[in-house]
Amino acid sequence: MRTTSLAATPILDDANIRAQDQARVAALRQQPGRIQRVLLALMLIGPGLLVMIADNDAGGVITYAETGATYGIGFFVPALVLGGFIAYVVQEMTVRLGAVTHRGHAEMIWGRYGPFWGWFSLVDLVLANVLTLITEFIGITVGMTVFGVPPMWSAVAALGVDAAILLWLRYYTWERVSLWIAAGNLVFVPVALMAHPQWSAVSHAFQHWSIPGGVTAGFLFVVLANFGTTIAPWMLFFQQSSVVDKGLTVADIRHGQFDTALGTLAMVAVAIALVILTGTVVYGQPGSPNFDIQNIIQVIGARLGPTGQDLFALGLVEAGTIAAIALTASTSWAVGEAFRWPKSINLPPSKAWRFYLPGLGSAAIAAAIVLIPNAPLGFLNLTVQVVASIFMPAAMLFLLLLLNDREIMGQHVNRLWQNASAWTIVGFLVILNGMYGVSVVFPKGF
Amino acid sequence: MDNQHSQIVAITEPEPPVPLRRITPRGSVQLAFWGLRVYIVGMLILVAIGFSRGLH
Repeated sequence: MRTTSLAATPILDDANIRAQDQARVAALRQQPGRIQRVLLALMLIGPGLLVMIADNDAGGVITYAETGATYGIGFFVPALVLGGFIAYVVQEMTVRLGAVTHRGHAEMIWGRYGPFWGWFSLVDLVLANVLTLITEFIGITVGMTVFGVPPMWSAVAALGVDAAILLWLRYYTWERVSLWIAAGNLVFVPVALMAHPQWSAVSHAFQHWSIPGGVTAGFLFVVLANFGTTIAPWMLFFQQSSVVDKGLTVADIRHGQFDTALGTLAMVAVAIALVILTGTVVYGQPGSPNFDIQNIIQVIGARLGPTGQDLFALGLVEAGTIAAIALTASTSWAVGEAFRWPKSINLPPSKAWRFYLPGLGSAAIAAAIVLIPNAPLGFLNLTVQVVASIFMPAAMLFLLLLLNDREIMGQHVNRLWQNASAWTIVGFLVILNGMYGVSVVFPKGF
Repeated sequence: MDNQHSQIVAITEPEPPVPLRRITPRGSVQLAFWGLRVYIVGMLILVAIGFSRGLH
């Protein structure tokens, strides 16, 4: 860390606040002792936990719940562990890239590969984020309907929460409040335990990993949806920008990796809990493969009682809320980076309204679309999958090129095993996303 | 602790971002970008066909 006199250097508000955050980290690092090490770890966790838990968004919850309802526990519980490994490998790279360069993902693409790929990435990201936000508000309104709250009120309230914490809180506090909201994602674990799952069936799934009913078009579609839920383009942009805004440096990379691993564990635990829950109480019911989320909530209510139903609905609302918070920040950071605006949650809205506007505008648009009577929500959901399937391999390619750019990364370039894992994931994604694209465009021929 | 903390705050300045210059893709990087272009065009064609058939 470079040290000079701040008094001699005119710095922006955000740099000043970040310097104070970094000074707290430096002070803890200088003190020996186990308690100080724990405090340091607690202070440095955040971006990894947030991105991974926000990845269990409303769309993810619905996907996992429907997966368990359709296929039971058998194939997907072990598959989600593999998904967690993939997510960790991808997201860990954003920690190193952000900590080494102190630049966001959009800024790196724009600056290194020029405006064509910069615009391509930005338009894709913003479009996908708006469409994904629509699915978050759908999840929030559906969840709140269980408590008798009209969609109009729940959508407006969710938008209000999103805007309030982004506008009123500065980065560190914003991150801490978001982490508390994210902790609500774990509610699915006790709900799964309430279902009294057969642990022998879970153990059997790991010992005898098999595909129920063989490989069919429907099964492949669910596999694609599950892996599509595990990693998404916004996650790369969000975590890298978050690492930069938090002020992490190369000295913090190990803590960033720990943070990402912790988030991965939480994400996988919740995803598995959802599959176990619906695999236990919904799977095998007449017509369960065709159940939508409302049907699943009703069955959970019938089997676990109102407490189980309410907790599940709360979890759905939380999942939509934390993802909306992350997606909103992701959009603002990316647009700010692309246009070189002041781009930090440390900045007050009065000094950086342009930074906050794209994120909050996209959230407001998404909330409004959900409330339009007879809006083609199914069509929009399909479109987000198509956009994401085009964009994800591209986003991964940029990430890998940057992580192998020694001029930028120096000694922190990818190691051999990281490249081997990441390129395998890219190949896997291209094939899966290509098949997914073909399947949604030609559903009958798939 | 407070005194030490305030001293560190006073002397700490965030590290600047790494210098960033645009590169002209060559070799394997250029190949990767062409592969990406082909992939994107292929996907866009699929989407265009799907939407023209009234996919919804």
